[in-house]
Amino acid sequence: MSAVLRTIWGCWAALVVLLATTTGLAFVPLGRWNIVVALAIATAKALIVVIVFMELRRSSGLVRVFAGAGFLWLLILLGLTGADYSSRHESYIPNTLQLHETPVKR
Amino acid sequence: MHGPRPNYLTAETTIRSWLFSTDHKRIALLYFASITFFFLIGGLAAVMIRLELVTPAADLVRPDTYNRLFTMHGVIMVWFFLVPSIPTTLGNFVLPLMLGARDLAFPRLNLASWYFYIAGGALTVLALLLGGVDTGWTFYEPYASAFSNGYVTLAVLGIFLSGFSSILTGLNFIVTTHKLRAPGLTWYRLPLFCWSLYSTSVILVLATPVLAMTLLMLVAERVLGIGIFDPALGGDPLLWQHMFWFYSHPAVYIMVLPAIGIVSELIPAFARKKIFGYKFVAWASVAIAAIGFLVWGHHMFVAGQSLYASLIFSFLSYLVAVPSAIKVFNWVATLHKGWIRFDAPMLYAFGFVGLFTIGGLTGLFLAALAIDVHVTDTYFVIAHFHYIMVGGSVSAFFGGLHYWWPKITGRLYPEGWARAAAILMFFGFNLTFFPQFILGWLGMPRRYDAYPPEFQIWHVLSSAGASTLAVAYAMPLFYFFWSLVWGQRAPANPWGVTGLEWLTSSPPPPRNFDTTPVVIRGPYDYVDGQPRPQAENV
Amino acid sequence: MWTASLGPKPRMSEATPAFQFASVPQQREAATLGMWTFLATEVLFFGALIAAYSAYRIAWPDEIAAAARHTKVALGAINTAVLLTSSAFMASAVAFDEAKRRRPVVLCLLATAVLGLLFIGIKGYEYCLEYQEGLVPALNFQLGRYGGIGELFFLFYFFATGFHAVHLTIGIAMVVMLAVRTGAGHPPHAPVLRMVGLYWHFVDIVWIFLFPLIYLPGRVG
Repeated sequence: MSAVLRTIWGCWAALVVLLATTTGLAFVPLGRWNIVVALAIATAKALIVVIVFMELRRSSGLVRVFAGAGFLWLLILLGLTGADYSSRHESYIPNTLQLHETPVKR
Repeated sequence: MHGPRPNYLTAETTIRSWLFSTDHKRIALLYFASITFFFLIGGLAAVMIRLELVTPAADLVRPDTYNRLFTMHGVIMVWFFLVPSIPTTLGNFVLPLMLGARDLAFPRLNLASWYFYIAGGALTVLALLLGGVDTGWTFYEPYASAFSNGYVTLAVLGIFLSGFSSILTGLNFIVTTHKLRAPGLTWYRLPLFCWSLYSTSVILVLATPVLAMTLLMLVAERVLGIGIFDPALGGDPLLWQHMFWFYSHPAVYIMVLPAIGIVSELIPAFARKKIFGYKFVAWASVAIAAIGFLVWGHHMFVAGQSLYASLIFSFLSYLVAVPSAIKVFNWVATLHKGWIRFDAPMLYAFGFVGLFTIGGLTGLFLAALAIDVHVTDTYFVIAHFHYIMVGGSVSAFFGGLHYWWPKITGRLYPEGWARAAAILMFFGFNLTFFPQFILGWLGMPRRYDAYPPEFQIWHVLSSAGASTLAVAYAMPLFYFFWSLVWGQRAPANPWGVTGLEWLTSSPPPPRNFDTTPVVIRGPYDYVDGQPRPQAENV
Repeated sequence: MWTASLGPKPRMSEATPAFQFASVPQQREAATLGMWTFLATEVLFFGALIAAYSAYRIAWPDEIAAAARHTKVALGAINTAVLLTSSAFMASAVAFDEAKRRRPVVLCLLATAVLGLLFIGIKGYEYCLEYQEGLVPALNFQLGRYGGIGELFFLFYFFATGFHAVHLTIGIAMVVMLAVRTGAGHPPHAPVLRMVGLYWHFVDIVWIFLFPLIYLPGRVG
């Protein structure tokens, strides 16, 4: 009982430290690494919540697969859409996103 | 027969007992009634379209009305007929029976799913009654937000609501298949229809939420005038296409995977033979569902997508052909040296195999970049996807409906009429849609109400086929109703086949089985054409 | 629809499973699997929004960063801490429930709900500030000051945080209901508490990703 509570509130402390870290690092100029660090910390926090609070460490393999499936499919959406956006400028087709230099309100 | 044993139809008779029933069999019938209604509306629009196209001039309806007709046809047929058709009716009815379960895992969610579907359908029909939508079923941006003057928001909210119905059904099927299988019923002893429903459910659950969010963004853009997708306001119209097709391409497999499952039931049943390569057919369903998520970009080859992305999507699209072909080869191999019977369900299954093969092969034409550039947005595309969705899914739906009709209603339908309808449907279908391949190849674009006179012969043939098809679709309506009153009473297992659903009485009792069956072998087990049931002493 | 002929109406309780299940553990496993399946759909629901946002973030990095600077990062960080703490209380409630200690369960649930309400309150305060600054798209957005992409950013901002708030409100309602029923001595069977817990933590995870994506860009320079 108390061991479980200790784990939970230990994780809470870790989450708050990570929150402080990510907020602080946002103000440190790291160039393109700012977003990478922010997302890495977010992923770490999410993993703590999923594994400890949502008890994935005690769940069956089936539940783990289901927990991962949503994120895997989200990666498919991001990845293949990204495949288009990241290579459009190398294409002979004009980038529709950059057609208008300054967007104007109709 | 020992006394008037109550079945699920007679256990209770009030309207309330139907509208608030949590029995999967009654909910399946609620869905049957609703999708038939939507099929008729969608069909009516198709009739008007084919009538307009008999002559080259745009002389029957105004061009604006024509746009609304094909939009109504697409929206109703895709979201309110084809997507729910097989899973919510035959799937809902048969899945718990095939699993030896008393119901789905979440019976009340199942009922809620029907109400979401009805609410969504009501909103969309309201949009059509008020004046319709002219965007095409794809709601391409920025047309759908900035320029269209139809009731886009209302129709889109209707589709959004029906999405909840899809998600709840998919979730229910997934959990039921995992957790409610009868003792002894391992995954490899499941009938193949269960595998295909499971794969379909995975798509329903993982693709539909993306459509939901995408539609909400469309509504926000249209109502608030902010350019999420409108390039004039900084948005990207291709983003709409990416997110729309992330759902809508897998949605094609939502429509055809259950049909594939039905055919995998029908062919061993009427060839009296074990399916050839069970594990390959089973895993091919899963593979189609998974690969189906990786190919949506082939709808965007000429839309301005990066060439490199197009190359990737083109290659991945070819991959879908592999599990699809495995299915077709295994069905054909199952027929080899079988005790083949040509009952109506089998005729539909044969029709499916032929039409699905043509639809699938022309899909490969469209996956090829260079050919796709030539036939994009032509009748070639229309013919291709109707071969899959109508020639494929609807044929299999009718095949399954005939096959399980005795189980659902406890009555036998008139076999002669049914065979005639099946054959008529096959010829009517080909007459309608094969000319459209030729039209598309000749350059006839989709969504036009007028065309050059030299195309008229093909359009007339197509419209003639559509009339034939209409008769073939109407026939079952009559003889099925006839059988409800005058049809012979059906025994528990009229076809002499193996599945668990045939071990309980026809129609089944409210809780499906008197005792939970203990499964001792896999499906499709025939010795010299005689079935060996999956379980004994039910 | 239950009639006498079908036997007694099945109750959802620890002792007897619902009629479609053979045993209580089977029912619990089904509920757990159903919840995780539902959460997978939620991942893709919010994920679609994040995908769209990412596309524009990549295409217009400077404009998005400039707009994101107008969000209230201090309030956002405090709110994140509030939500993380509520999740810890929720997890504690489940732990106490396993130890069959009812009173701490009720207290933990109440703490969870109060923190949830606090989050909604702070969020509402932020919305007020943003309204006063003319940052609400389509309502009073001041294009002259913030530009077209800025409006797009704030549309995503209100969409994402709004949907999150709706989810959280549903969660608060369920947690309050659980607390009341448990406090009154009629606790629903254990899976319900766990299911609500899973949902609550998921809503927390959505925020864990929204916070860096919405509040943190453009803080440098």
